[in-house]
Order: sequence, then structure tokens, then C-alpha cells
Amino acid sequence: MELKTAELYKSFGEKAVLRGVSFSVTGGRALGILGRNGAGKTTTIRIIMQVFSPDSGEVLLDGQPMTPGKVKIGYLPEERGMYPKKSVMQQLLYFGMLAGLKKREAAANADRLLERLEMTEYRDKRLDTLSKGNQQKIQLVATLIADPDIIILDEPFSGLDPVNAMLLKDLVRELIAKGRIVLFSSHQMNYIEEFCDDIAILNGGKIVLSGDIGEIKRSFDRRTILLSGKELQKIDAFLTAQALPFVSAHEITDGKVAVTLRAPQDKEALYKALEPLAGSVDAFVVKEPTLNEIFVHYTEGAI
Amino acid sequence: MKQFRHIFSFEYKSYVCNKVFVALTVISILFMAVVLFFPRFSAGKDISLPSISDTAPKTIAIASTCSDSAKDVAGYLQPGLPKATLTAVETDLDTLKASVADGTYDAAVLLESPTQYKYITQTGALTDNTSYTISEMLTVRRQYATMAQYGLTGQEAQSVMTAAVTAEPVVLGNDQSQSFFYTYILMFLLYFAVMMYGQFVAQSVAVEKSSRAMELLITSAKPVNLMFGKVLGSGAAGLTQLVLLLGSAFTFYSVNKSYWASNMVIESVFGMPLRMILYTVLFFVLGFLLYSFLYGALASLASRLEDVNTLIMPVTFLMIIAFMVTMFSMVGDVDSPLMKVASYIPFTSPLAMFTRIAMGHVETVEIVISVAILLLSTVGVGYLAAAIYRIGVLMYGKPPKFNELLRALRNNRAKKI
Repeated sequence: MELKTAELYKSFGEKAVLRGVSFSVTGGRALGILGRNGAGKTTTIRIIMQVFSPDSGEVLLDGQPMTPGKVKIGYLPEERGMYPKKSVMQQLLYFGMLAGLKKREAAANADRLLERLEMTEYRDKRLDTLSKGNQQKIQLVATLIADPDIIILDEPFSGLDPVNAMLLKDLVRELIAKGRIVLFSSHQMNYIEEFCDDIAILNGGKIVLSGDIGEIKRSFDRRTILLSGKELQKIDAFLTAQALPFVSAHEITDGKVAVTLRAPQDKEALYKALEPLAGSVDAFVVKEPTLNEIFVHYTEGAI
Repeated sequence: MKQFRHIFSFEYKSYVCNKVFVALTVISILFMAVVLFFPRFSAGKDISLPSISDTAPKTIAIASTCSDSAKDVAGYLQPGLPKATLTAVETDLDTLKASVADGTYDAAVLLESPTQYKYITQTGALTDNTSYTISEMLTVRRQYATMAQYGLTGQEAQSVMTAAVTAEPVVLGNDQSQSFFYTYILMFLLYFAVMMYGQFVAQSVAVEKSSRAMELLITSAKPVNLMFGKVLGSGAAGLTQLVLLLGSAFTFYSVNKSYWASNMVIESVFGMPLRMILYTVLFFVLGFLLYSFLYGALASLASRLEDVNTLIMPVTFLMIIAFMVTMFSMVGDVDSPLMKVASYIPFTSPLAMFTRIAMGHVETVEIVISVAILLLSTVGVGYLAAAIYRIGVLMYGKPPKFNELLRALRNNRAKKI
């Protein structure tokens, strides 16, 4: 299965929120949507959820315009909340039935998921008697109750303790392995790196970067070389003394000497220039950009 | 449709399983039971309020400074005041005042002339009608005496005094003296039910929004289904309550019918024609739906529960205006031009048309037109409310201004609501 958005445009009044958003997610490969606050992530998600219709552009599932009701979408909104005064099971059944399940199916699925998330004991408790983390788990059950084909998780890890985060991680991995379409929206880059094969960075209502994380990292500017060894001061002093023309900067950070080259292809020249220090240098590594750096690089400045 | 059914039953159940709702219904039914069973248990006993007999004077002194003797007057008045003991005394005003002041007598009458007397009491009690009775009786006595002076025999005088004209009213339309009480009660019930349930809908929408349950709802159900499911669900709960209340009232009444035979108000209320009850249900359903859609739509614009009351105020005012117009027309002319107009405007017609049907003169075709207008506007307002709701529920922060809302509505003319 493949979910694709094609050139989505949407404005609210004068304000253009989406200005041509196109990306695609395939089953079994999670996509992380990144973007600063107000970049248009929630609007994009709501268009996929068919809460809003786009001004132009469309949402395609396997090449066909997505028809409401045909495909099940599970959505964990960033703004969490259910009915505080109703029992856990009562509202799970309600949301299950709204998603098209029969009462019996909804009850069976809810029980299975509650057990999976170690929440069975809270089955008949009123929601507002649960802790925040547990309420969030209930909300996750509501998201997954109808066994959706498309799962959209907006900041799923916020507010969870490490043990609960682990439970959720396992569950998400399972969904991805089952070939479901999983869309992640988060500011926590480490989670995106952990789960997502692909990313799409939204900025100012446009996709500024999308594709396979590994490829993006490799294609990213590789001008920084990290040197590690015993005598960092000596390496640093050597570079200062040499004043190599292709080195624009160098400094000691995190127990390594980071050398910034004027151009990525100067790597070879640096390698050769370091020959006198061969005894001191233990490793010569091209620094991979972190997702964080990529994100900041693409989204810095005005939205 | 399946979705609508789930929402409807979820909303309906959240009322009928609500303890406060159940308690309120039970208490109302019990209250009616107490009122309607009362004469059965107090039958044959004096059920007049104790305060009336308590405040009336028990001992009354009668004195006279004119030709009529105090003794004659006391003897004449005694049968008219069976609860009091009348004593004729020979004394003047000051002594009388003193004996009332020191409590020797509860009250005193000083006859100054056959047509004038002083009534002396410690306190002028509101419920004391002794003086009224005495005046009436003395008037009659004076009338007989005058007729005797003109030479009429006792029998002739009696026939003059008892001559009375009786009228037999023939009412072609609604008898307002009959319909007033039940119309008043039903109209008030209608007003109260529409207002109360409308506000329940507003509360429920606002709670869903402020608890963010809306985020899930709006993505798992169509706004039209959510709006109609919620409003109709609450309406059904309201109707259940209304039917229970009216049903038990009629049951209690029919069990105790014979004991109420002499009470005109109760007789009139329960003697209402069946069609009026059916009209109550019809106008409750339509009026409730119309107002609840508005309440729901406006409440969807509130981000916090505190904002709800401010937002729904205009609709509440509309309802109050409808109530006032109808209320004041009920005691005046129910078929006044204002009422005629009001009975076609959908926001006032549930009360105005209802009252005109009950108390005024309306052609069937007028009822049909009024109901048709109301029905069409209800459906129209329902869809409009769903559209506002769809936009409103996802707007957080300050509630939008009217023109902002209009712009958003225009912008968001969705293919699918």
C-alpha cells in the first residue's frame, strides 16, 4: 500500500498554510513528518484524515483518490483527550463502533490491546482517575482499536515514561513489520531516527526535503572530518601550524578534533597532510550530519 | 447512518444513565404524585390553610351608638361568623379600643349609623375577611330594612334580593377560560424544556472540545452525524423525560379524578384535548431541534467551558423574546398581528403558534404553513450548524468574530461535511 499526497494547497482566509505538499508513504516503511510549529503538519494530517478538503491537490491511496470510509485510519492527535467522566471501556467501544466495528469486535480488540499495554486492570475505571501516562495509553488503544491500515501518530512519545515508551516502541515496530502505513510527526528526532526509514521536512507549507534518511544523510554536506586520538592538543596545534589552505576551521569538541573543509573533495588532501601525525591519529571519520542538524539547516529562518 | 446511530445512542445513554438526570426525573414525578394524591388523603378534612382561620378574630365585641341595638346586630351577625363569638356591649369607642388592645376581645365593631361602622383590630391581618363579611351582611340588612320602609313585604323583598340573571356561554372557538391554564403550563414546559436541553447540548459540545475528545471524534465521524446524533440523542432523552412526566401526571390524575372534581384549575389542565398534547410533542421536537442546533454550533466555537455561556447568550435571548411575546399575548389578544407574525417565524413559532392553536383562532392551513417553515428551517439550521461545528471544533483560542466565521464558512465549503 502506498499513501501519497499530491501538491496539497490549503489556505485559511488570507493565510496560505500549505503551498504544495507532496510526499509518499509506503506500507512497512514509516515516514516521519518534521516541521517547526506552524509549518503545516497538523493541517496536512487533517487533510489526510479528511477533516478538511484541500483547496487543490489530492490524497491518493495506491494511485486512487482516497475514499472516505473505505480505508481505516487510526489517529493519535497531539492534543490528547477523551471523555474524562466515562469508563475506559465505554469510550473505547464508542470509538471502535464509530470506526465501523461491531460492538463485539470492538470489545475483543479493546481487551487485546489493553492487555498488550498492561492496562487490563483499568478497563472499567473512569478515565479521569487514571494517570496522564495511562490516559495516553488508553488513547493509543482508541487509535488502534479498529486495526487501521493507516496509522498517524502525532508526538506519540510525549509524556510517557521510559517503560511505557518501550511498550509503545514495540507496538509501533510491530505495526511497521505488519506492513501498515505509519506516519510519525514529532519533534523528538531520536524517535524519528529510530523508527522512520523516510522523512519529509515541512517548512512554510512546503516540503523542503523528503526521502530515505540514510540517503539524505549521505547527500548532506560532508565537509566535517572527525579525528580521534590520544594527543588531541598536538593534532590541533599541528593543524594551526600548518594553516592548510583547504581547512576553513578546526576545533576540539567531544573528545575529537573536528576539521571543517572548504569542500568535501578536500578530504583526500587532508588525509595526506596528516601523514606526519599517523602515530597520534587513531581514526579519521567523515562526520554524518544528525537529523537535528539537517532539520535545523532546512528550517532555520522564516517559516 | 450506522455512525449516526452509534452517536445517537451514545448521547441518549449518557443522559438516561446520568444519575442527576434520573434523580431529577424521579423527584419531579414524586412531586407530582404528592400534589395529585393530596386530596385523596385529605378528603373530608378541612384542607384550607391553617393560617386563614388562625388570624381571624375569635372574640368580637359589638357596640352601637346609633338606633340599631348592639344586641340585635350581634344576633344577626353571629350565623355569618360561625368561628367567632360575638358579644354585645354598651360602651364607647375608647373603651372598645382599650379592650381590644389589652386582648379582652380579638376585635370590636362600633356601629355609628346603620350604614357605617368602625372595625377595630390589633393587627390588620391579610387573610382576615371578617370585616368584609360584616359589611356584606349589614348591607343586606340595610337593604331589607329600606324595602320594608317602602312597604314591601318580607317575601317581596326576598324576591327582589334573590333575582339573578344566569348566563349560558356558547363559545364557538377555544374557550380561553378553559384553555388558559393548560396552555400556560404546556407553554412554560415547552420553554423550559427547549432551553434546558439546548443548554445541555451546548455543554456537551463544549466538554468534548475542551477535553480534546473532539480531536478523535471529528476524525472518526462526519460532523453532520456528530451534530445530528448529539442533538437528536439529547432530544430523545428530553422527550423521554417529557413523556414520563406528562404520562405520570395524567395517570396520577385519573386515579384521583373524583377528588379533584371541584378544582377548576386542575380540571382545566387535565381536561385538555388530546390534540394539545400531540401539539406539545410536535412543537417540543421542532423547537428543541432548532434551538439545539444553534446552541451546539455556538458552543463549538468556545475553547473553554467558561466561554460557552457568553457565546450562547444570543440564542437564549431569542428564546426569552419568544417566551415574552407569547406570555404577554396570552393575557391580551393571542391573535394579535404581532402573534400572527411570530407564529410564522421559526424561532418564535414553537411557542407562538402553539399558544394560538390552544387559545386563539387558527386555520389548519396556517398551522401547516407554520410547521412547514419551522421544519425546513430546522433542517437548514441543522446543516449550517454542522458546518460551523466542523470549523469551530478545531479552532482553539479566542472565539472567532461573526465575520471571521462567515469567511471561514465560505472558505471551507467542503465537498463532504
